[in-house]
Amino acid sequence: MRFARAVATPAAAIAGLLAGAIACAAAAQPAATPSPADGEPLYRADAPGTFELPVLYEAPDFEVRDAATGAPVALRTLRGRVVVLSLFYTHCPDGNACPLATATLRSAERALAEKGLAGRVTLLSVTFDEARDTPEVLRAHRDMVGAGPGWILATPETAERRAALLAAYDQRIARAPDGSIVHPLRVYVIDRRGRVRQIYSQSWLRADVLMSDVETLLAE
Amino acid sequence: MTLHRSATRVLSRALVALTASALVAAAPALADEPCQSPYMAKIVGQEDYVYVWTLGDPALGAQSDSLVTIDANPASATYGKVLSRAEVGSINEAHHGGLTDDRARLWLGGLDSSRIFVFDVATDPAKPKLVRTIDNTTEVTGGLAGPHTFIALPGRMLVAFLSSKDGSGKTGMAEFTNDGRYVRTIWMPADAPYGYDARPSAKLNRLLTSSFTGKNVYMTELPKVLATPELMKQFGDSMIVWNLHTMKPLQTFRVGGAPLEIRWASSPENDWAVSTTALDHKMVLVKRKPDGTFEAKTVADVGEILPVDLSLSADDKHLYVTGFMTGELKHYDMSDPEKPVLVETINLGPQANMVSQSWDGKRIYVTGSLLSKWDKPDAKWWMKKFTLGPDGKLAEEKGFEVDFSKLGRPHQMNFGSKALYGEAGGVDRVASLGAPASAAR
Repeated sequence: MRFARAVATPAAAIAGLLAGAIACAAAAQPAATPSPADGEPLYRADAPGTFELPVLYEAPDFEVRDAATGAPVALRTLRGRVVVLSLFYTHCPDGNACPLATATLRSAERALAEKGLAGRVTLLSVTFDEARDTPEVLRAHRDMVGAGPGWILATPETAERRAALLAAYDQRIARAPDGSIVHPLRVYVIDRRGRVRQIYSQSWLRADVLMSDVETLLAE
Repeated sequence: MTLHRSATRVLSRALVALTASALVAAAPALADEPCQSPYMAKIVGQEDYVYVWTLGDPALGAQSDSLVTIDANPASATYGKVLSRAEVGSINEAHHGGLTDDRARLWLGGLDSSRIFVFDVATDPAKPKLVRTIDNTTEVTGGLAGPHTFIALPGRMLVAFLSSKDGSGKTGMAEFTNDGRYVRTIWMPADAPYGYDARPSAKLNRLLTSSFTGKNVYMTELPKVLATPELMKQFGDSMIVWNLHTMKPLQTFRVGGAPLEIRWASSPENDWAVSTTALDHKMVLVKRKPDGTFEAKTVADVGEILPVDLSLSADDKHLYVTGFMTGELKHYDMSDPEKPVLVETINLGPQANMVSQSWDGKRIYVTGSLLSKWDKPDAKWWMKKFTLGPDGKLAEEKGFEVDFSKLGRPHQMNFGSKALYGEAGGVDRVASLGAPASAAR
């Protein structure tokens, strides 16, 4: 009974995805080119600095509240750092959406630490379900996914500020009758000058590609 | 007698070649549901709407290009009827269009004016509203003209052009944000400068492009093009494999005259794409090799039909090829993509162009207009619907046919659904497609 309930929770889905992502990262190491039947990634991330990321637009400023510290966080105060911005909600039932973003950010946080880049990058996950994702819920979520100090989980606190943030980043959401939120998955990479340089959705989001893009921007 | 036949055949070939060029412009880049961008939610159930980008034609009483919305849901009281018609205020050589990754906006291009029209299809999906017109496309892109293929990338649009400001076929691609802000231009390589379709494969991190001709040719009357050797030389013959992440070209294939539409296989286990060459009617398979590079090979001759559009089912089994010159719809079994098998040929006559099918492969829609200067004098303007039966054959749904004789010449079809925007039933009818790139299957 308890097991059955646990499996049905987003937490379990995330745990499963985290395990999958880690296994996947390990499997991606061999040099042989995988075939589709192998169930492995079919391409290797491009080496950092071997490509340019176009400037998509100036990242609109916003203010949210860090659920762990209670401190306000304004995007403008993060200039000089690369910011990985993920818009999400903790109740997301689609393992290919928010839990994927969470798993990818966790992999990225570890990779950044290993490369000594943690101090130059901020991972910022902002909920668009501020009514249910209270600071307490977000803190519990932090613990569950094992977020470290370089990863801020935050809330816009009010529906008005959430709507303004989503409009500014062209992220549409719609509430379904069952309480779930219909939304495209979006993760944005913002460069040290405050410009959006990459947008990922679920078919594009991979920790190794994210790391390659972040390192490319850090080298500019 | 023999001589006469032979001469007719040569003429017919020339005509086919001409038509093929025209085809390119008309072919939809991402119309049908299985062939939509991999970065987009898919309508996996019954579509509610078919959005038809329709060329204005004063002879029909249509003084402007328009977006015509058809009720496509058999459960609706207005099934098969025109729900709305939104004029853009000018005639631009309406051709192709594509939806943004969130399917909130439908981008539509004019091959002559180079204008891009952005419609809001989310607020009222039964009545799309024009929210932005990009009038200065050629200026902001540094010289591109003839916006043709509109493909969603995450949070932005990739537009493949046919031409440039001098009217030649030297062209490229440009990226815009979903709300229409210019991002960058990527010119085609100097040794393969033509453009047409651009199709991403998310799982392979590859983009595949094809090639047609420039405005000087596609805006010239077809008989004149056919009679002018200098114009007939101005068609591309290449397909290019790009690194999608870096947008750098990796391999160029010379596949034959004017390879137009490209369709990637959708099944996770498949890593190939198919195209047809308009001028020499080959079916071309572009397949990934064990070393990760690609090879291109001719796998079939589709006949002198001037193949213009393609639609490949989500299970990669059924391929539909429309022939502009003969008005035929050819149905191939692609179970072995190296050996396509012709299942049936359906006569739509006198010309056919766009073909789009639903995700489940059960409903197939066809329209007939290609280009204002290339359409035949006796062409009729309609949208027809076919269903794929349990016997694996197509049957026309009689009584559905939508009459466009007073609306304009119908081109590309895109699908819409109320369920996309959070209404009840959305979970069953809309799939958030795309296996996560990093998760094990």
